Amino acid sequence: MPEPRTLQPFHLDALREMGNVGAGNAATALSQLLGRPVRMNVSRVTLVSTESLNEFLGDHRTEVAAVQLPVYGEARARVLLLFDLERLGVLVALLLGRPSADPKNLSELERSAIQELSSILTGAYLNALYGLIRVQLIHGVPAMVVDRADAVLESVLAEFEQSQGWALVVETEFSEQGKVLTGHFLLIPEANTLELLLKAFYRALGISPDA
Amino acid sequence: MPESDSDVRIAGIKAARAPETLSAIGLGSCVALILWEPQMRVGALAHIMLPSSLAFPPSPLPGKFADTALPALLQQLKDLGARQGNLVGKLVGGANMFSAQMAPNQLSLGLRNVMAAREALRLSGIPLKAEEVGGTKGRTIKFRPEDGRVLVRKMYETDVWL
Repeated sequence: MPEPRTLQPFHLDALREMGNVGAGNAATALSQLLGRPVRMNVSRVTLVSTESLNEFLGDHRTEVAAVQLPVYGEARARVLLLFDLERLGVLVALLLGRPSADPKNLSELERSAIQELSSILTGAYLNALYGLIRVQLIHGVPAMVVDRADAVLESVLAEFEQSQGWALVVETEFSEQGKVLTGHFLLIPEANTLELLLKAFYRALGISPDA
Repeated sequence: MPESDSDVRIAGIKAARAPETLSAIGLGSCVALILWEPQMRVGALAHIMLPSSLAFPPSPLPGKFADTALPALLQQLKDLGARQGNLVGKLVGGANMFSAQMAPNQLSLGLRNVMAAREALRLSGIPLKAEEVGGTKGRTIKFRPEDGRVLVRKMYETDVWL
């Protein structure tokens, strides 16, 4: 099973640049949709082994709104977006222009707004990813749950029958009226396309595949 | 809270003697297969990820699959002095969290895990005493070999004892 090698700072810079392109496009799309400026900032982009995902997510790992989208095309994967439940109000306010009621009991409209945002974000990131690694990926319809992040992650990893793979993680910060919510975008490849995608990353980042 | 509790991680197996307890945190589609021996007050828990090992290369983690987990559980319990004839089983987990994305008539991984664990118990002749399985919510559990009880916790729901 391929393991992500330790990435050097300039590799991470290249990944982050890709994230910035995606976030920029998503922010533009959202601003047009909402009719007002939307602030979005990519704080970190990296490849993480699936075994250490829980630790990597750290404080954001307890209770989340999780949106899953199937990904197909030249590789098969799953996108998982995790939004810290405690700060979900920031996102709802950003999308609907009013503070959310109870994040534990989201309305149909709030759920649908978060799923729509997830679709826009995923489309933008997959496009930006194509710009970097030249692997064409498209996404399907989103589904959302509110639960513990570890239970959600476990389910997704188990479904792919892989616990020794890796995921691309993009940390995106959304801000609305001085409050910030960090959302995690995870691209989790299916076991049989792990290698294809990792090689594409290495090629794009100029890492020798057999080093 | 008892002072000694072990978290059984995904694909892991652990046995414990009262008053120790065993936990599994964030069970999604995974299933916790629990065996308890009332006389010796010992028990063991497997945090199972997949129903069957058949299509996979041999794994160093027997707890990963329902079919390989059961013999490993039995071995660990025998090492603690348990008698197989006294054992009872409990099952928790097997949720289908993203049920909205399932094709019609498709069996979820959670449900397949539950069915495989039930079958493993049946083949070993161990009675299934209680279960709390399926649904769409993740679970966190704590098992007490002291009295065989299992605490099941789901988000926004009242705790359940099995």
